[in-house]
Amino acid sequence: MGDTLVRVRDRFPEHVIDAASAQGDDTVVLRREGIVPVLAFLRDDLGFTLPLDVTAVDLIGMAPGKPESRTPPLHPMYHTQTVPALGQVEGHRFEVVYHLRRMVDGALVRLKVPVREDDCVLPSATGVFKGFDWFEREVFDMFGIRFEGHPNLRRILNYPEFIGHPLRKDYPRRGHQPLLDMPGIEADPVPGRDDTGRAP
Amino acid sequence: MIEKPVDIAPEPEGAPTQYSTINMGPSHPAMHGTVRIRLTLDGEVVKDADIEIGFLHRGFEKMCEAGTWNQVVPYTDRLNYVSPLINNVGYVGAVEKLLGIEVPLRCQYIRVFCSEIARIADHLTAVGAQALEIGAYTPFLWAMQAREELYFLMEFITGARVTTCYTRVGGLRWDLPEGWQDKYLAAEKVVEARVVDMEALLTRNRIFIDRMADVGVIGPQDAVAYGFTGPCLRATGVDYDVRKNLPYLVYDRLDFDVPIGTKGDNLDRYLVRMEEIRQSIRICRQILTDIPEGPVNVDDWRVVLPPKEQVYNTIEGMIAHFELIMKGTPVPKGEAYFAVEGGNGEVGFYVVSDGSGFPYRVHCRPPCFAIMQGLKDMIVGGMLADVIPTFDGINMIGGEIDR
Amino acid sequence: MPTLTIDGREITVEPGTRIIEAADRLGIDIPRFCYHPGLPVAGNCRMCLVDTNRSPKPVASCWDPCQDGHVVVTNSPRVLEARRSVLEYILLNHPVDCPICDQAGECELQDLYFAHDHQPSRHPFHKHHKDKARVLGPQIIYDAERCINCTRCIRVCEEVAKAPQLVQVQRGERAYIDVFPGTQLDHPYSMCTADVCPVGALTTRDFRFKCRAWLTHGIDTVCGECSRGCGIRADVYRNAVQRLVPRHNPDVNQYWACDAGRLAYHRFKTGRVSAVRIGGAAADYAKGVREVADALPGAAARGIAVVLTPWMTCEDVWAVVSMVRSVEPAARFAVGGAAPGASDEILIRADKNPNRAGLAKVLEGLGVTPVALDEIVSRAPSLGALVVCGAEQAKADALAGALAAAPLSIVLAVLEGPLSAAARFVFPSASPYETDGTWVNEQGVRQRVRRAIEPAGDVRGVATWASDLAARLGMPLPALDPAIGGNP
Repeated sequence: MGDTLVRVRDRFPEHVIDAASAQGDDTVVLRREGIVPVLAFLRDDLGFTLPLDVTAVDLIGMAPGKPESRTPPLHPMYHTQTVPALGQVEGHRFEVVYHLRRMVDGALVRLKVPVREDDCVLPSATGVFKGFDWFEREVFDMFGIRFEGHPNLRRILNYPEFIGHPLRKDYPRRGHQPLLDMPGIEADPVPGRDDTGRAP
Repeated sequence: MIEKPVDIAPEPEGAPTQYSTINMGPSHPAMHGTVRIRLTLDGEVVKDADIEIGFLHRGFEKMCEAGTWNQVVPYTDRLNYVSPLINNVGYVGAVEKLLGIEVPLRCQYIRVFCSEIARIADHLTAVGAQALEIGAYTPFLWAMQAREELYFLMEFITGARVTTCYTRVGGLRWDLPEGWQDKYLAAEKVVEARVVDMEALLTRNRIFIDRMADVGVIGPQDAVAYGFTGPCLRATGVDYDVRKNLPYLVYDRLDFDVPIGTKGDNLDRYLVRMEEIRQSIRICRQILTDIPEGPVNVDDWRVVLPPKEQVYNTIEGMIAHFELIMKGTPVPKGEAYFAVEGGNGEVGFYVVSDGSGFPYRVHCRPPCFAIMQGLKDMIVGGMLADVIPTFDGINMIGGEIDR
Repeated sequence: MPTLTIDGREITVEPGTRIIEAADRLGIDIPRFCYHPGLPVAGNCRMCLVDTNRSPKPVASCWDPCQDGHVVVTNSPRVLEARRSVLEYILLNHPVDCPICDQAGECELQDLYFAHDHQPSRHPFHKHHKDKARVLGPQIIYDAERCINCTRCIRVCEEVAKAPQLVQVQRGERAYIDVFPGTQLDHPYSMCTADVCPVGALTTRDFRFKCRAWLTHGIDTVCGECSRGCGIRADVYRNAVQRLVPRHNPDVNQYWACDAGRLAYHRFKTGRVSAVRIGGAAADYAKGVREVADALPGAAARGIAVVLTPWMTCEDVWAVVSMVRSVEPAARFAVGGAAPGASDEILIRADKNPNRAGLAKVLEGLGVTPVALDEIVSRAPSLGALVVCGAEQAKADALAGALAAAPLSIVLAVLEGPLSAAARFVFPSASPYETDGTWVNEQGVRQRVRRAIEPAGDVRGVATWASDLAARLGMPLPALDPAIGGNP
């Protein structure tokens, strides 16, 4: 139904920043206080019962470049630095994106929540949909956005001692992590190589 | 460590018991694609399970930002590597949605055909492995034999068995080669024969039914709440298939049924998959007769590489080729979500463009990611030996869940 | 002040402004070949045609001045078809050269074809052949087949360099650019013609076949060959400067730079001082700093003299003066520098040092009155220590003698020469492309110099050397912004 946007906006005018259709997908931009009530409304009143996905986008790569930004080479493959020249972002840096499906007619609704870098906490949606559990963990793992009220907010795809949040644009494509001390394993040095395994 | 509750059966004299914690995986022959399940057992009964994934995380989404839109297609092969063609189709569908272009009809038929043979391969692998791990070795080998025929067919069409990389934004790598219909019919003959053989050994097999029926049960409300899609959801009785509810490409013109289960147990998942293999064969047969002639690529040099005679001999072809390779197809700024029905369920691709020829963000919504959240509910309370067939029934593919 | 509407957006401009300039201000991109904001309008390429309400035919927006009440449309079907047709005509005889053309990757013809035409060729005939690789001058080589006859190069020579050496000959599809018989393209701004050329018709000998444009990344910096301080961009690949191109700076150099400044990076490729030397023997940097720090306080009793050069950045000057004064408050400072040279009315200045004005300002701010250079040279034997910051000096021989005579002599040199041979302590110094800091040009414009390549081995910037020495002396300087002169 095309009136998903209308009904959400009418019901939650204080939470909805924007409601439009992008490429045929209904998209609502929300304030973070509205996540839980709007999700519950979509599930109970509008029939969007299938939780599809929670992900995030780091918008700092789309911010205008700093004045002394370098001439970009054509293809990212030729970037000599693994971290692209990033601009200054004003306002929100991340956008957390929720997708829900209404199975009956296959309708999709997308919720986008702008998140500031210095205040990247959102209320967890796991109270409304159990199925957002691991997806929120992945957003935390990859972007560092915390979800308050999540039963088990820890890294999911990376190991617990991982430093940094890899899908952020300022995490280099060829990032290095420090070697961990492996408890209980005797050091077994290979002659002629240092402990990173490389020849000196 | 979970504390043992006091109302458990009284201990025999002088024999203290406690819950034991064992580790299944990640290096375990039955933990497909590496996953680790930390089980807390009371004897053989599973009291708790902590599922840990991420052993095959390769940074797919970060690498997608390192090239042009077409350079992502080889990465999509490696997502669900048992049905790579479906991933190929899904990803370029998302980019085409954002570009606002529609590929020619012949291309759509070919993409559906490829998706269906990939789906048959996926289900054969899932069912075969499930049978193997509860001891039925022969059906597994039959499934592999059938899958080999399909791999020969995929190799004939795309050039590779697994890393097919067949679709491109705006079309395909090349048209189907001459003689593909006969190749398909030869493969179909073997697949159908093996499926019949497998069913003969499994479907009414007392041991198989005892191992699989009422094991790993999940109800429809829970399944939907967890975000289940695909055979695991349909086995619980929920009628949702992206091909029917949200038809894409030419699925709305094709005649096929979607099998629905009743109990949401392992047996239903097995039966749903076997029936889906039959339905996929039915779809492929229709495509054989219905497929139209015509081009397979969109006729636009901003999207599709020009033919080589033009590239080498005209400046226009040369420039178009150069710009497409070095700068990529310019995709308008915006975002799109496109879903296809994968072997495990709804594979969604969410792409964000900043207006250039390089993807800004590509996200894959893996169906087994959502399903694995529910695995804990399905195995807790069951026996240790039931963990394996239940886990196999979910058909978790490491490449897809970890990306 | 006419007010006009372009694509539905209103703007008010000064009288005489062209439509294309107004569109640029609004951020609306009208494609163009022959129009260049720093050159007079030619109007021959016809790519910038737009629909207006004042004319039944499309008009050239590079020529048409804005009128009050003008309504301009840049994306109507007729305009889009006009652009497509112009590109098709240009490409009719264009050679299939992209794989061997230097301009590939930064070619306006490639980009505009892909954006506005993207159609297959309709031209089944042979292309018309012309001269390729025709030497027009000592720096410029011309490919007539690639040329689209936009005449930007001719206008550069006539209006910017005031040397009308290029001319367009023949007509129609046979037209090409040439020099008058007996002359060549040799004015001091000849490489600017290759900058403005939208295709790969004009290429510089310096960059031809050297490196692909997309492999380089560009660092915005400033030329250090004279006191004009033209803005340049250093295109770097594999830690080597591949070429220097001028940057747009409306206050200093507009869009242009002279050939001498653009070829200057070659000077720093060989003959570098590569290691610290103490008394002729190689040593490592730490040892050099240590020994100098140990010797300087003793030398302070007899007086320390420092020769500053006007290519040092303002930060370098401040660091050296502060460090030396912390050892001897009455130290004497003189200003050396490269010898003056030729100048012209356009960009080239006689003073071949980039930062004389900045140096003077910093010394004034620190309350230092410089003494005459000759005074220091003559008093060299009676000094305690003589420090010369920079080996490219007009009075090199005199200073070499002074360094040889002084009891403690220190030179910070980029290139080997008489000064690095004469001093006891030689420290390898950073070239202008390895330097980070600020220069003030002769107009008083302060500009930022940026490090384009990483220096090798023990090469240090002057400010870094001074900071390290001050730290070793026990009187550390306040930390410099690491982005400016603070490292390595």
